Amino acid sequence: MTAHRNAAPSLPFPLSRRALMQAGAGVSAAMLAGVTFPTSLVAQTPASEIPPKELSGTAILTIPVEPHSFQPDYQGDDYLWPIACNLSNSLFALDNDFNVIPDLATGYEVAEDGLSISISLQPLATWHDGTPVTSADVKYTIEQIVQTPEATASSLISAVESVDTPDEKTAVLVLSRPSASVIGFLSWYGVFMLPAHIYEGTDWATNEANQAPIGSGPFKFVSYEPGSSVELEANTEYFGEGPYLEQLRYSIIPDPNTQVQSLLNGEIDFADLPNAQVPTFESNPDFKVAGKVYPSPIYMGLNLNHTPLDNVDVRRAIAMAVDRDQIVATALSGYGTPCTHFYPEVIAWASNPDATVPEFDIDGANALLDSAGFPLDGDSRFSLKLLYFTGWQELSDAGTVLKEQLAAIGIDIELVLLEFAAWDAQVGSGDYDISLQGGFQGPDPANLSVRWGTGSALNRSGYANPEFDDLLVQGDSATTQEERIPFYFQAQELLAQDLPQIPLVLQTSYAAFTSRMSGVWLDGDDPASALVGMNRFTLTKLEG
Amino acid sequence: MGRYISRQLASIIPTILLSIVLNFMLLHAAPGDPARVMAGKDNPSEEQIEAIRKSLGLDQPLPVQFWKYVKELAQGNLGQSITYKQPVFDLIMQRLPATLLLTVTSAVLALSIGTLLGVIAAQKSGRPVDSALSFSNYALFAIPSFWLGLIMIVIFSSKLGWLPTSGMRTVRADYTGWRDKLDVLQHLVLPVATLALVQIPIYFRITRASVQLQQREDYVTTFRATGIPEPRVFRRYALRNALLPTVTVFGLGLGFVFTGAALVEIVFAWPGIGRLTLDAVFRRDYPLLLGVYLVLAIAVSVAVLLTDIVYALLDPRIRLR
Repeated sequence: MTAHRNAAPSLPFPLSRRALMQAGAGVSAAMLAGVTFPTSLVAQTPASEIPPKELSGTAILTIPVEPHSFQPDYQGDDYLWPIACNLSNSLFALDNDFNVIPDLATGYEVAEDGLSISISLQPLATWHDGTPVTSADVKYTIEQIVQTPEATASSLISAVESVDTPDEKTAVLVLSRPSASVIGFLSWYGVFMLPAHIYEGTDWATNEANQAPIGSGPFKFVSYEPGSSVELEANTEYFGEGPYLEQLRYSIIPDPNTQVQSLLNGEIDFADLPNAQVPTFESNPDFKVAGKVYPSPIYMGLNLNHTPLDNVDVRRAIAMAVDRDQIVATALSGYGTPCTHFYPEVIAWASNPDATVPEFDIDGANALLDSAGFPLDGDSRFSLKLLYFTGWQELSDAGTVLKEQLAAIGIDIELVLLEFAAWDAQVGSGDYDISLQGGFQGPDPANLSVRWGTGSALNRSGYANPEFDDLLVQGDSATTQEERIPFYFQAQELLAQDLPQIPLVLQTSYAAFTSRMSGVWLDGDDPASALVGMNRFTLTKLEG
Repeated sequence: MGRYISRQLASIIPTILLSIVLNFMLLHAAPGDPARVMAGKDNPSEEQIEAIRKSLGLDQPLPVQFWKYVKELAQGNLGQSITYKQPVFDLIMQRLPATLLLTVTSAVLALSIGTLLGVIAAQKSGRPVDSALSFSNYALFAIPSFWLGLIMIVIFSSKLGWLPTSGMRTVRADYTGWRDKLDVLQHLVLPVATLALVQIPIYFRITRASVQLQQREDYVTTFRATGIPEPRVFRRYALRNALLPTVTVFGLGLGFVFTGAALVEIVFAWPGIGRLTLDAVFRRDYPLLLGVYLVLAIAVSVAVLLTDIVYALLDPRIRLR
């Protein structure tokens, strides 16, 4: 989401920062892949028969807002996302460390010219109505997404021209240009496979199956009580390992404080935690707590079309006046880290460690503003309007801290707090100086073009640098990761030099769950977290 | 009486028509663009946003959009929700029963308790009972409903474990029949208590003041002077007149109860229309919002009509005017 905290998975699903998978924990695809987005990925040999299912227990999860439908591809819906991850499969998924792992695919291979990607499918995968999953489903879904401009992922995988189906279990993506980021985006949002035999020839936005979905995932849809709950049950014909739970139910609880009380009361088994609640749950043996940092930094977007922000020295002075440690300590209550890179450090391979923000230096910032022709007039040099939005307390607190920090170099900040859609409209119209925001920047550095590419919808700063655009095109066209890195590193150097944005902090988000639960996808101490994609409860078990 | 009712009924129509126009204009005047919100995941392109705008008909001039809306409305069609892609009428009807259960129960409870306490306070005017009741009611009046709701959850659910924290049913269970009804009742207690507690002071204050006023009226003095026993004077004459303002407040207050219910629905995860509305506001789901506002306008108008009828029954002077 443009600005939400963790973005689509913008919202509620904090995950934990975790160490690398321990060697010997299992031959996961992530380990085979080694690093993100190689030219090929080979998973374990697919099972020749459906693994046996031993089911026990019902886990109650929670979402804050009811899903708008159960069709995960035609429009973005952060609240359907965690449910869809268990009902459906995408071709690939992202594990807890943002590595690409296979989901419905067993592997892929990029052609030497980079213009096609051959994807092999799980041979035993079936839809919940018993129909086998075939390449025709992949063809329908991906072509439908690409051809529907309203679809969330349409612009992300626009390099896909068509999908060939040489056999039932092989789909070949035909690309209009080499695009290394396609695989990453096919692991992400709005790219769940849909059953062609249900959707083909119908309006996918209003198809009846949108209210009673037929997926291929580890859990099947049972019922939906509007505004109350969603009930799923184990898919005993699931092609892979798991599920282990008889049922998965989502209780819809909008208020985070009520979620916490429901968790304490044993009414639900898993909930996100407001930061203030972390110590309480960490000291409670009935619960486990997991934290995670998403590649979703809080940053200041600067309006380059407004004076004096069109002056790079002014932008640099602002960057020098920001004390990130103080923001972490106060606005985030210590639950986060300073973000000093121009691509989040969380996706380490793509983050240039040498392209960083200027050092904190108040005297230097004041001197820079003096020499740039903005002398102090009394206590102030000039005023700037900073827009931020409701519903994200830490962001609001960061705004207050920034106002104080920038006052130290004679910049008066007028804080303007708006409801999200109003904020989005005003920033989109260019009526602002600084926008305080966040937003998911993964899973691939190609995402840099979305926020800073010339004319891009999320580039509200008016940053236009043909050299930057060109580097991103070259980065996406290169086929191996080694070849891609230099382009993205150079692009980040340009951002560090031009400063259309000032990265601030990375927030750690937390969730707590009953200690009877194991195999939770975001529990970094649990090997299962490297074997399943985000939000997937495929390997989760409940004891007792 | 029949003429009185038809006259009041006729006066509702222009009110509802005006609310249709105002709702449409105000919603579209508010900042925010549903197309942007719909596309607003991580990476929308301008083409994507424009395509959504076009598919929703938002690229057309406002008068054209209004005309289309009114034309559909005239045929009894509230339109289709932008986000849910379902008929607005269906979405509202799915959630209206839960909201009615919450609001009507709490309003009736608040009316009964508030009025009773108001009468007691008025009869014990100036004594410790009156002071204690007045103080508690002022304190209650100052407490925001969402905060009160959270405190109720902490005390009665988390600490004492007597009642469930939220929702309308136990998600972990699959109750049916009378056990299901009991389950709903258990879930209803805290939200109804919260919503009733914030309304009680309104009825308390009005009743207390009104009873005190009536007891000083000349006709009451006359009845007393003629030797009619005090309890009879009070019950038969003073109380009946004193309750007239509470009837008015009850009818007019229903609109505010819906608003207050939205907050309580959020705190207690009660699956009513308030939460649906809030989500529609955030998503700028114009058809859904227009539908909800229209239903509320009709509900409040009908409540006012019923109030007028009850008032006329209680006080013949009204209908004769």
